[in-house]
Amino acid sequence: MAGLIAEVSVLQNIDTSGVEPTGHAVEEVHSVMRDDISSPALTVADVLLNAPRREGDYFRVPAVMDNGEG
Amino acid sequence: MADQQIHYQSVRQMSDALLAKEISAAELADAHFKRIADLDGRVGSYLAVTPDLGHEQAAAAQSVIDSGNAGPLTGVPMQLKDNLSTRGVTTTCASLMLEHFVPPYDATVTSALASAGAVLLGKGNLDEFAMGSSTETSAYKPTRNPWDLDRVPGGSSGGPAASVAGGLAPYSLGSDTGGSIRQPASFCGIVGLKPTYGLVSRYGLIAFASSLDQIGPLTRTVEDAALVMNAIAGPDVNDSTSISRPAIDYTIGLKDGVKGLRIGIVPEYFGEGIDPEIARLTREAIKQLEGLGADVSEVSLPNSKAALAVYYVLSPSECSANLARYDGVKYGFSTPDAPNMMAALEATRDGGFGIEVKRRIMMGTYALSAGYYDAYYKKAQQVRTLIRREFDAAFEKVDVLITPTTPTTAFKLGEIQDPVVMHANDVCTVPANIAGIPGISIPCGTIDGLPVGLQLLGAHLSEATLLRAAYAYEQATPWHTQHPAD
Repeated sequence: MAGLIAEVSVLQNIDTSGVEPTGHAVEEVHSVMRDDISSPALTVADVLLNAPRREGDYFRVPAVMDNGEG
Repeated sequence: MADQQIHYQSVRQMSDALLAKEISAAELADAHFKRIADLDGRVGSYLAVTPDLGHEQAAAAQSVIDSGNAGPLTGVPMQLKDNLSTRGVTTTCASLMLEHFVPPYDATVTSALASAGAVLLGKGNLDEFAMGSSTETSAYKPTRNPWDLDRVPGGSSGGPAASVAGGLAPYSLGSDTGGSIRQPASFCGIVGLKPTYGLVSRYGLIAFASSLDQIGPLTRTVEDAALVMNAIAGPDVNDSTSISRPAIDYTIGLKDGVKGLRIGIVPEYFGEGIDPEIARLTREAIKQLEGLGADVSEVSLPNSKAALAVYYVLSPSECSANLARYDGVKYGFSTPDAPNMMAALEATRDGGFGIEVKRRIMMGTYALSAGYYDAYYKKAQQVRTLIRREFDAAFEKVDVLITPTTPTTAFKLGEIQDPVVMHANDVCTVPANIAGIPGISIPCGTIDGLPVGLQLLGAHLSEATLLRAAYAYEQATPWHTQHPAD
């Protein structure tokens, strides 16, 4: 990690005062909203296809709040 | 077309042979499946081979050909990098995390190629989650360079590059976050195009660094790259960052030559760390383009030097956010016997990710953490602005910038252990991702029998210009006709 941090620390030597940060570099790219029309989505069977553990139509997870079975 | 040469024909030649009924789509697919069975044990470019789906697609393509409605990709086999989702076909990202993951949907590029009549041969190996420059971080196996099996094919699209170079696929699609199409194309002596950010939909590409990732073709000829781009470029409602402008035909104007084209040579890309022989071959190629009528001038890009540091802040940061989704609940590697959710998360992520992926998640988490965010992430985004402006200014003066693609030729497996040294492989390719501009690597010679790549960079959405310049150079040189010995 120390080597990786040293690698990127050269950035500190560059004067960026007053420079706006760039998130996406292409001006034509901007978030677009699609029309609010419903269209076919994945079926429940498809969504659960890769579930490591399931119960009925739910993903089954270990207990979140305590050490017991949740 | 002579049987023994089928596998080194271009996509265009294969298409012509299919249309002329010199070969059927099934025969063409079988020739490739046989070659993969014979040779890929040594090269290791495929993680999965898909004969059932391939034969089904070949039969469908043949009907289209017989009905007279074929396009240039109809019936031509291809490979997809294994981070591109294929419905019903395991997509692993070369990670144990997704060892058994079967996507419930196709990536947009997968369905676009299917609609164009493509025949899937299988899925190409890569560095785990596309993080690496040698394909050695694949959780399953390394891929070897067909030019010298002791050497790496580059990465992360090492499987695609080795397949195309070794005649194991007519073309493949890769992804390029910091050079992952162009660097392996360079190491393997083929054509690799990273399009403008947003030109090809990323829907179904398993995300690494979302502001940098872009899908593109790896091919044996420049014309083939144009043909594949015709099928995959264009707006997509499923990718909110896709550029909403109509698709164009990249073969139009391809053969118009470079008379009057303004080429910039960037001194910063010929300095320290660049193999002097590579620098010499690059200058020779520029001279050749000048001989074909291009105007050459020098353009300085001093901030390009900082691009690597910007990349190694932004890409791990975005990766740490993107890979947070691997929780062992919805899909992927899981340790369901853990006593509680926190323990399950820890065990899942510890067991599912390899060392390079963990290193990048840690680096990204650090760069995004409170107290360091301004010093690293925001600073890198600000320098990104400077790099982008510098390219904008350069493209006021010239149409195309020409640089080496990589500082060295392909290195040996196991030769580079230090991650910082490995990162230096990307020094010439990373700036294009930072600026979102397109770049293409084409072969420009060999050093001791190993291919060398020439990189052409252009302004946003200048793919047609890059392809035209690349085509002119390719047609004036013999490199694309040379292939590794079996």
